[in-house]
Amino acid sequence: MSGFIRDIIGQGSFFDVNIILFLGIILFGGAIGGRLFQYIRIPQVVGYIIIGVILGQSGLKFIGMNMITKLEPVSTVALSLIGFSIGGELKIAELKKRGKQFVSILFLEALTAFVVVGSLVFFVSFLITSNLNMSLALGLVLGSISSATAPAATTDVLWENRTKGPLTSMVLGIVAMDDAVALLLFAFSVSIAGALLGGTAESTSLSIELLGLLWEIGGAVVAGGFIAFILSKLIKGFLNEERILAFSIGAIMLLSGLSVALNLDMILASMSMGFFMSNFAPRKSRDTFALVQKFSPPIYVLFFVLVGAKLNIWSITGFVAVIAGVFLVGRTVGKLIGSKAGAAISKAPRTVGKYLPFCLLSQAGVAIGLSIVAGQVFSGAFGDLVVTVVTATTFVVQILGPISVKYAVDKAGETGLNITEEDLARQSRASDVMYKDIPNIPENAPVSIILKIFSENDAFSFPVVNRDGSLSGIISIEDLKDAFMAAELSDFILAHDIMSPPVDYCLVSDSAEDAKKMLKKRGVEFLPVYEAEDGKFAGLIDERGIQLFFSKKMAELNYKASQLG
Amino acid sequence: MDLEKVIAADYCRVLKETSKTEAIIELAGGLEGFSGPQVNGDILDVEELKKELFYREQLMSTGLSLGLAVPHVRFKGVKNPVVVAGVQPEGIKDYESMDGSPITIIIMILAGENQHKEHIRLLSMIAAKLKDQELRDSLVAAKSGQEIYDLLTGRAGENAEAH
Repeated sequence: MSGFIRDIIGQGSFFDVNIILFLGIILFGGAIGGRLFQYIRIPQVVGYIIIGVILGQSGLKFIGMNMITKLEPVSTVALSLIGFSIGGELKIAELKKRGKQFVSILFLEALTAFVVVGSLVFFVSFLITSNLNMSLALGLVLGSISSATAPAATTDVLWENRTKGPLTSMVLGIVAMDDAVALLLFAFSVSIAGALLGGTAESTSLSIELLGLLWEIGGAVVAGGFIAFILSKLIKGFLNEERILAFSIGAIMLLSGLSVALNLDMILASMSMGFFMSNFAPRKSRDTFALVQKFSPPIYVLFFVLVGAKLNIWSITGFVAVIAGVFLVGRTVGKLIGSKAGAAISKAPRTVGKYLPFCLLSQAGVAIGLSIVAGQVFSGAFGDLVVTVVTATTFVVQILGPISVKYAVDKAGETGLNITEEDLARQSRASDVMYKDIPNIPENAPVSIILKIFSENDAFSFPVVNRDGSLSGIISIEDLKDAFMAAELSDFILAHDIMSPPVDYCLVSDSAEDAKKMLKKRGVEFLPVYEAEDGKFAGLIDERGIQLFFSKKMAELNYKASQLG
Repeated sequence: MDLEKVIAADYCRVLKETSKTEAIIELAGGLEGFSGPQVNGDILDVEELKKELFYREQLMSTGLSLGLAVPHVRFKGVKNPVVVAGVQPEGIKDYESMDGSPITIIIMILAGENQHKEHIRLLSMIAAKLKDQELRDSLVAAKSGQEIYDLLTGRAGENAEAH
């Protein structure tokens, strides 16, 4: 027994064999962390990451470095799924509407962060080290890395809070595209830094760098579009959800694998796939996106736990801490000034200018990826410095970023506006969707009176009550129709004669989703709703009433979102 | 719907009772032991049936006009409609018919719980058929259940022609 425990706590060798148990523990632990943080109103993604930090390099070392490397494919798949979903939310119409705002904000926030971080890092580094070339190079490289914004943690908050509106559209567009800007700036900076640092860099000429970039970005867009085309052709005739899901996940994995093999920008490729599918095969792809969204959460949990596990906060020295602080301040200030200026110039809605800066703090995959590239290009102290600074700052912004995104979307009033009917069905109670104020029909009311009640009210079915006021049946429009066969007896046929006895019932506290399911399962048009088991009759539910409630609610939310700008 | 298929010939009768309650009990009670495909092979629960019939009468009398009453219920154990008829030449004065006339013909309709259409169709059909004064007069003059059945299903004419 003790040997078993030593195995677990010790080298982790047990988990090298039993990787499923290991995955189960991180997935379960991450999910618990997410729930705990939701309780204290902090985005779930922070919970996943903190569980990762506790279990990983900075904490218990339960998730070892070799395991993180082994699980690299999980991150690849997660990033592809995130890219695919973001691409799906970039609608051409929306981009056209906000095109000008989008372009000015994108370039200004990225470039300002580059300039501010670059110059601040240069000055501080020069003050400390008095090494002009090294400081310039460090400023350039860190400046370019600072322009990148991570989509994963940011969009997780947007999806968790069902946001919709101009701020959400802008954030999605920016986090999706500024990686391309960051790659471009990075390519320039690395070439110049290479020249500044002399022999240490294995850098190539700028034109070859640019050609490589063109391949990385352009190739990604083309590959994504191509796979999107094939997938939408393949699933065109499918009605079976499982089959659509299998093909979609297969296509996404195929694409990310290809991107890795061909050295294409993976997130951009899957984004392009999502973009093409949602814009050129919108009807069919709606199912695909819904299915992929349902499939993704466990992969996201794993991904974010691993992000946290990878961060090592103990590798920070004094100089690193100073540079990291400068990087953080410069990046935040740069993004703040840049996005505010961009919003002002392009006359973006007020909430965008005011709250967008809060949504651009996250940095992760791309920034760390670029720092690792820098670490390989500039082997030695300079490379290590870049990697450590970026890792340390990533640690901070990954935890603060989601919290500030949540603050921003709440303040901008965009939370909860992107609700689907399924969400509504889960969130609403039977008491919300039932007909409450419809008159009861007494059992001895003749057809002529019933007709009058039907014509004066909105509902399609009415409760029939006996002398004590308790429910004895329900009359639907279908039942009433039968009574017309004996029009001459309309004073003689009573509610009691044409009503249907209730087959089943639900309670006011049941969810609208359950009520809907019960209607379907029972094959009935309506259900009575009671206050409690053996309680008072409260109202009636039918499919049409539920639909009416949903449509009204959705229209309200859409109106609210459209009022935002 | 074909009346011939739903009328239970063996259970039609010339009634002895002359009060509403007793007459209904007599007609419904005559169904004691009724079994067949209409009740899914089970035996009709006559006690429960009586309760339902009286509950319905409490809500509103089923006495129409021209001496015709149609007590009717949709009833749990019934699978296909069952119709039985009784006549009382003396007239049932306490039936509370719509025009106040004493009831001489009672046609009882039992339909299945979910047979909304059949139920209303039978009601309508019987009300229409019994508008014929000649038929009503013949029914009131009938001497046996079989005769009532023949009259209602139109067999009386056929039989007369055959003779």
